[in-house]
Amino acid sequence: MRAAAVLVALMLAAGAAGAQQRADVDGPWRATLDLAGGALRFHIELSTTDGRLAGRLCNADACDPFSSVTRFARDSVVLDLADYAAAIRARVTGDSLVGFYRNVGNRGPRTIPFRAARGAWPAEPPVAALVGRWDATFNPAERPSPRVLEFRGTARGLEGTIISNSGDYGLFWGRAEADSFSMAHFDGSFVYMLTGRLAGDTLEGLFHAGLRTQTPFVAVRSTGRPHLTAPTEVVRADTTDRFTWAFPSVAGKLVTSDDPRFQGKVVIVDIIGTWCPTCHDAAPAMVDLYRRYRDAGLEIVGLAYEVTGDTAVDGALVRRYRDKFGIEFPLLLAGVNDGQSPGETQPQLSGPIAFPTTIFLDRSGRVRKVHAGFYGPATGAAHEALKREFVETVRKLLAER
Amino acid sequence: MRLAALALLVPALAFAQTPPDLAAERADYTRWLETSPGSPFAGLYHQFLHDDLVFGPGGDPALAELPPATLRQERRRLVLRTADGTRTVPRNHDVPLGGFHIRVAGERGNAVVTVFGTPRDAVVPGWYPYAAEVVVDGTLEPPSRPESRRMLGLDGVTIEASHAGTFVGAVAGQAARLTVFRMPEPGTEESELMIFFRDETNGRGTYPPGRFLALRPLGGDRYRADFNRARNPFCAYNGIFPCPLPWAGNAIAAAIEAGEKYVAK
Repeated sequence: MRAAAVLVALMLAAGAAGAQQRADVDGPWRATLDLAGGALRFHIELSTTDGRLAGRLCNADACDPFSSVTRFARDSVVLDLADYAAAIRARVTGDSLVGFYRNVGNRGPRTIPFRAARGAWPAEPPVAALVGRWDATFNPAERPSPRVLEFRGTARGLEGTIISNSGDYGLFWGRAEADSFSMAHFDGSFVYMLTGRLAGDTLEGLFHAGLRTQTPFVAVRSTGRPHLTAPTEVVRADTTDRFTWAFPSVAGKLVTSDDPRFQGKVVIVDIIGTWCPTCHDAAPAMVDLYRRYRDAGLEIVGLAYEVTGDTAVDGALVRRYRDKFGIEFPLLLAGVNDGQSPGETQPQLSGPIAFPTTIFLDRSGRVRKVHAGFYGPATGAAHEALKREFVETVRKLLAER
Repeated sequence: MRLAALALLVPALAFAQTPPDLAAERADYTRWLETSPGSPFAGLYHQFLHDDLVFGPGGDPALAELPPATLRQERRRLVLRTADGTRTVPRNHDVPLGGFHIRVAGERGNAVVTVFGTPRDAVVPGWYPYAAEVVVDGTLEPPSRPESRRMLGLDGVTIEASHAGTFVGAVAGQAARLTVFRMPEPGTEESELMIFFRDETNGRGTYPPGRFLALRPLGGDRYRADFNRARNPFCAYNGIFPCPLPWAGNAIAAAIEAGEKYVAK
C-alpha cells in the first residue's frame, strides 16, 4: 500500500515536471499527409525568435509561412493557415508530431491524417528516363482533358509541375524508384499528388486531389507539337477599339482607362485574384517589369477579382497582396471571381478568363496581345522564357511611336 | 456500486472500439454543425432564385428579420443591393448581410439561395456503436457507358454527377451491388464517389429517405465502403433543405446498424 502511494507520488511529480517543460519543436520536420492513395511528403520548418514560435511549409525549396504557430496544453501545436481557413493540429510526442490537416468546405470540415518526424526527407536522385516534358491526358476514359507534365532532376530529387490551359499547379517535389514516381504539391490549400510508372514509352498513373479524389492519366513524351491551347489563344480580345476599364482602387478612388497616367503609354492590364497561387507566382515578374520600364513609358494596372464582393474584406486582401510583393502600380477591385463575373465586366474579352490573364495594350490603348495563365518558377525554363517574352513584348510596344 | 462501475465501463468499451480517427471526425463534424455560421443548423431559407429575392420587411416573410436588400440575377451576374450599395455575389461562398450569411450555389439558371442565421438548437447527430463487420472492401465495376445525371447532393443543391460504376461487395453477409456516382466539389479538383443507399433501419433509427456514404479508394479497382461513416443529408437536420430521392436499386435488404442515426426533434 505504502509502495503504491510512493509510486503515485512519483508519477505526480513526474507529471508536474513534464507540465513545466514543453518539448522543443524547433527545427526541420519531414511531414506526411496520409491520402487514400499514399503518403504525400512535404517539409515543415519551425523556429523560435525572441520567444515567438513561427514556421514555414515547404515543397522542395518553395516555402510559405504559416499565419501563426501556437503551442497549447502541454503537448499540442497548431500550425494555422488563416488564408485558407485551414490548419494543422498535432500532438507533440518526443520526436514526432501526429494529428490532422483540416479545412472547412460548405458541406462540413474535411480532415487528412498528418504526421511528422524530425529531420528532412532524404534527397533521392531522380530516374533519368522520367526527366523531361510529357503530354498528358487526364481522365482519358470519362472526360479527357490535356495537361503537360514537366519533370526535372535537382539536388533535392525529382521536381516538376503540371501545366493546364490556364497555368500551372505549382511546384511538385518527390522521388522516383526504378520506373515508379511519386511527387506532391501541398501549399496549405491545395492537396495534390501525382503518382505513376513508366510502362514502355507511356507514363500511367493517378492525379490525387484531397484525401481521396483520384483522376487517372496517361502521358507520352512531348513531341514539341503544341499539346495545350497556346496561352495567347485562350482569351480573345476586341482589338478594334481602345480597351477600357473603370474600377475603384483599394483606396476607394475610381481609376479608369481615361486617366492621364495611362495616355500614350504602353499599358499592361493584369487580371488577378489574391486567392490564385499562379497570380502570386506572376506578381514578382510584373513588379520587375514596372521597375525597369516605368520611366520608359510602361504603366500597369491590376484588376483583382476577389472572393467576397465585400469592399472592406476584399480591400484588405488586396492591400496585403500589394504589400507582400511591393507592388507600386494600382490594384483595382474589379469584382468577384465566380467563374462568370470576369467575363461580364470585361466585354472586350471572350473565351474563358484564366487567372492571371495579362493584356498588353499599345500606346493607342488597343489590345496587342493577351496571355492566359502564367508559367510559375516551378516550370523552370518555361518560366524564364515567358519572363523574357513579356520583356520583349513590352520593349517592342515601347519602341512604337 | 458494482453496477455503477459496470454502467461506466460499458459505454467506455463501446467507445473504445471506435477508431480514433473516426471518433475525431465525428466530434469535428458535430462541432461544425453546432458552431459554424454556414452549418445546416443555421439555415433559415433555401429556395431557387427565380425573380428578385427581397430581404427585410415587405419581402419574403421568412426573411423579414434581415436588413433590407434585393438579390437579383442580372444577365449571368448576381447582384445584391443593400442600403450600403451594390455588390456582386460570388457562388459557393458565404456573403455576410447584417448578422446573417447568404450563399448562392447551384448551376447557372438554377441558382439556389441559402440564408443562414444564428445556429439554432438542433439535435446533434447520434451514431450507432462502431461495427467492424460493416467495413466492406469491394470492387468498382465501371459503367457500361458514360452517363451523367443531375441530382441533389447532401446539401440539397442540384449538381451534375457522373455515373462512376457499381460497387460490388458483401454487405451484411449478402452480395450487394450499389450504384456509385461521382459528385464534384465545386471550384476544386476534388470529387466524392458517393453511394446514396436505403436499408431496413430507415424510419426505424435512421433517416427515412436513406443515407450517403463516400467510397475510399484502396488501389486499383478496390474500394472501401465503411458504413460506420454513413451520413444523413442536410434535410435530416433542417426542414428548409430539399431531400434527395433514393437512387433506384440501392436498397440493402438488411438493417445496417452503423453510422449516423436519425434523432428527430
